[in-house]
Amino acid sequence: MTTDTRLLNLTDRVPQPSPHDDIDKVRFYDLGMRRSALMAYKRPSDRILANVRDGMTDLVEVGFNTGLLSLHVAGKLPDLAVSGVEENQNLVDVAEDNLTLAVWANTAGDVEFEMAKLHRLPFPDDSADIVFSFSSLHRWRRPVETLRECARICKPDGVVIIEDMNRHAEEGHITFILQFVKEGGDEFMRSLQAAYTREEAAELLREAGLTDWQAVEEDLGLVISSRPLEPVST
Amino acid sequence: MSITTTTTSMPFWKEYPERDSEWVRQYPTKHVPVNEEEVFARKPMGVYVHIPFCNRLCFSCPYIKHQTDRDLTRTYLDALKTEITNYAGRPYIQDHVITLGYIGGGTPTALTAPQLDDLLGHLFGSLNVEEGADFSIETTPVDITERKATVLLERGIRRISLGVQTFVPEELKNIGRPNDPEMLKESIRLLRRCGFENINIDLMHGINGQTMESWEHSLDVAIDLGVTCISFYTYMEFAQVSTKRRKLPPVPEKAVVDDMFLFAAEKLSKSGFLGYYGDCFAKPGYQPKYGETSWSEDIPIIPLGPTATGHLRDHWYFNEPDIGRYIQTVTEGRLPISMGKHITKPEAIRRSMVLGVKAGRVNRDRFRRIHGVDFMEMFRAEIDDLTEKGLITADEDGIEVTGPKGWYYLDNISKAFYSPEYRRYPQHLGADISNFISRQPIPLQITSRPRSEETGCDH
Ligand code: SF4
Repeated sequence: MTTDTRLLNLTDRVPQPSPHDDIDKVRFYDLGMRRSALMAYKRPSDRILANVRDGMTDLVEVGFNTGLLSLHVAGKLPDLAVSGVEENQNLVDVAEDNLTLAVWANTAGDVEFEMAKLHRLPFPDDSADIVFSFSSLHRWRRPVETLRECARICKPDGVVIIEDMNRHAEEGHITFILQFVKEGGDEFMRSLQAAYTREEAAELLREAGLTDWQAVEEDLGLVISSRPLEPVST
Repeated sequence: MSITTTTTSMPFWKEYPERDSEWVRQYPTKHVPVNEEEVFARKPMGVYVHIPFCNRLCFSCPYIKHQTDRDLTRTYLDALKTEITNYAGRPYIQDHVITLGYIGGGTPTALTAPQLDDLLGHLFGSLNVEEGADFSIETTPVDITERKATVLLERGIRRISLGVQTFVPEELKNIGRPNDPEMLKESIRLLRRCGFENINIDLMHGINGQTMESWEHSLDVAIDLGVTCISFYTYMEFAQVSTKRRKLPPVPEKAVVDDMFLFAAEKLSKSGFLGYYGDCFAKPGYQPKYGETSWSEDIPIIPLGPTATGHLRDHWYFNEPDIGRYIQTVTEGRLPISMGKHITKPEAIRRSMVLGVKAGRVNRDRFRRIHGVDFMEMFRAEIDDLTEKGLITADEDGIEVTGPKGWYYLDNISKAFYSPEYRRYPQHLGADISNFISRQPIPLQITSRPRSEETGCDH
């Protein structure tokens, strides 16, 4: 017999109030992400790389946090341009610092970060081959409009891949992660509380008129995509 | 449960609807001889002490530990002694006698000899520790000195466990340890010279660059050194950001790591070691009582220090993981209990199965004595399934995990006895999630085994 009773307080969505409002906290968060980067970014990065095709030129990251995923992907794809957009000044500042360091370390890659509203992306229609986003959806102020923007800027034969956590992921999995993130536990849980469930993501897609998109649960995460994706191994 | 009687002629026993006239005032009613010693016997209890300091922090270690620091260590030891005093003053603790103990970490011997002396003096002086209690301590070949070893022995520590990991210089280097195998061997000789008879060494398999041949070499050296216990663990490689570490030879394939397990289990068995917990082996008579009896006999354990886990008064719980908050709580005179779980009677029975099988066998009579139930009946389906899979054997006396296959799958076997409510929830490693717990109370689970709800247990 299983129980439906939840141990963790994750039934209702709790949007995060003004996250990243302090540059020191953002630096602390960035440091934590950098330390665990190889693990946390492995799957999203593999998924993006698996979708790269000959002739592609432009990738766009919507909500780049501190820029780590863009930098990592761009380093692997030195011939493609990666442009990131974020709407929080502190995140942009720390991402710029990371970019400076990457340039200093002669990392391959063509990366540009800029500050803009996520629901008004500064790119022309049909201009990106891959539009991606990781661990950002839960912070989007206007998710329906931002989803529409992702669809607008993506080329007809391109793909949109949005990954975030799933608030209703299996609790055992969540508590397992909590054993490892240690002092980052509060941050992790606040993000999780702000994250969407698969049903809520499907509802956002319906509202955005993107009814042919997918929302798939995957371990701890949720993967929204403009077309079905091949599974990537971890 | 139905009560049946074989005779109807007893004058004091009437069954409804006939009115019984015996005025019931005691229970149970089957009287046997009892004497003063039995009534006032002190029950056994264990203690776990956590020292969260290491002199050198290893890659790949998931535990909460701190670099040894003079001021922090001193403040910590004061708090730890205060925690011991707090426990020692409680009547429940005074009704027990400490028969087992484990001092782990971290590296307890990261403390200085006088600090160890002071701490153990306080521990043994405050609690009712039985003469000859079975106490173990963890150390490393680097931290142990003659002075420390002497203090430990004089204070009554009987078993010492060294984190050796491997006797191959290249492999030691790959896991970031001082890489002179001679020094490791010398530390074991030193312990023996000082008078330690029961010495365990921890080895690791699955480390960068390890091969079956080098693994055999490490096992051979360990056996030749004449240590009484050998435990081995699988190396966990975490994502390595360091460019230097990225250049290391790869860790062996999973299939090779599995073979290493089976190879070691067979080799050690053939060399006269007896297996317990799947990956621990001891010469007959040298298996530490700590895990074995505390788990299979359901003996309470006092947890001391941050993240220490214990089992007292129908709860398992762990201490505040944050060393600063731990010190503050203890200094304020409170116990630093952080999270845990009340153990209901049906769960106490399951707990004894879950932890009991980890010692390799579960004895039917002992289980009945502790919990008043026949686990062979109660868990028939699980036992049949495990037997069919060749993981355990069952007979009239109880069950036994089959080695080496069953040892390899020991945790799977153990989890077969989880109640549905706890399945797929992880073991704790020191994360306090109390801030995120849902405030709605969790309804008590009604298991599908009403017999276990009715039966009592006397711990
Ligand atoms: S000595 Fe032990 S506890 Fe300390 S860091 Fe190394 S493995 Fe971890």
